[in-house]
Amino acid sequence: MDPAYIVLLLAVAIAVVAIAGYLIAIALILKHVVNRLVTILGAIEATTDAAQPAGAVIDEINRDLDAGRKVIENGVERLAESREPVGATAAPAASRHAAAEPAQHHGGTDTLAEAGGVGGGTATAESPPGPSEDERERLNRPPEEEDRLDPRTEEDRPGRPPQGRGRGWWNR
Amino acid sequence: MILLWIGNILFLFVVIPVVVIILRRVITPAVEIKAYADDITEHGAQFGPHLGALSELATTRDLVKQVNADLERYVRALERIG
Repeated sequence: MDPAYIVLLLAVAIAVVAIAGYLIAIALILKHVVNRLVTILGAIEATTDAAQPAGAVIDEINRDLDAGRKVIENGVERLAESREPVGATAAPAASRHAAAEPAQHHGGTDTLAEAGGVGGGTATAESPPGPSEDERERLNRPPEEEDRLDPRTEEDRPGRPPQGRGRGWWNR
Repeated sequence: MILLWIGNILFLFVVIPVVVIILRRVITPAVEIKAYADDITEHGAQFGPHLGALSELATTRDLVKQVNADLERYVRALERIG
């Protein structure tokens, strides 16, 4: 037999073996992939079956929570309405306080013009007349100067706490 | 005979390598597909354990209903106090 034919046969055999090997490898890979896909599809199907009723349950939970929120809101509104008369009685007190506040503020002012009720919140036609000129000057004087000018001792001055000693509230 | 030898040489050194190259180009994506399939299976098949808590939704629904009932009682009691 001619050696050329033998080489040709060997070459064909090698080619066939190579092609067959690759095809077998590809077939095995495809089989493996198909098995994996079947597994994945089964898992997805199981997940879908498990999660399918969850939507309705979650909707029901949402409705219940919404109903609870409305119950709370309505209860708060009703409580606020039931508390409203108390707030209505408190309003005049607040207004009285608001009316008294300017008077208190102006009563404790430093200058005589404000202390005498000129422009004060309590200044009315029935207000007592303002202080005299001497009284006005005395009121406008700083306390230190007044103490310096006053010849009386601390014990002699009625209505004024002793300064600089003791633990009374005036030394705090 | 010389032509047969030339044909043999061409077959051995040209045709078979070309066939091998083509088959390798086919098998490389197949191997990648296999790796991707393994990865998807490894991570995708765990949907089930992660969704195990879905079975507790019924309990959550019942508890929410109880909370609603208790909430209404609480609001009524508050209104009675107020």
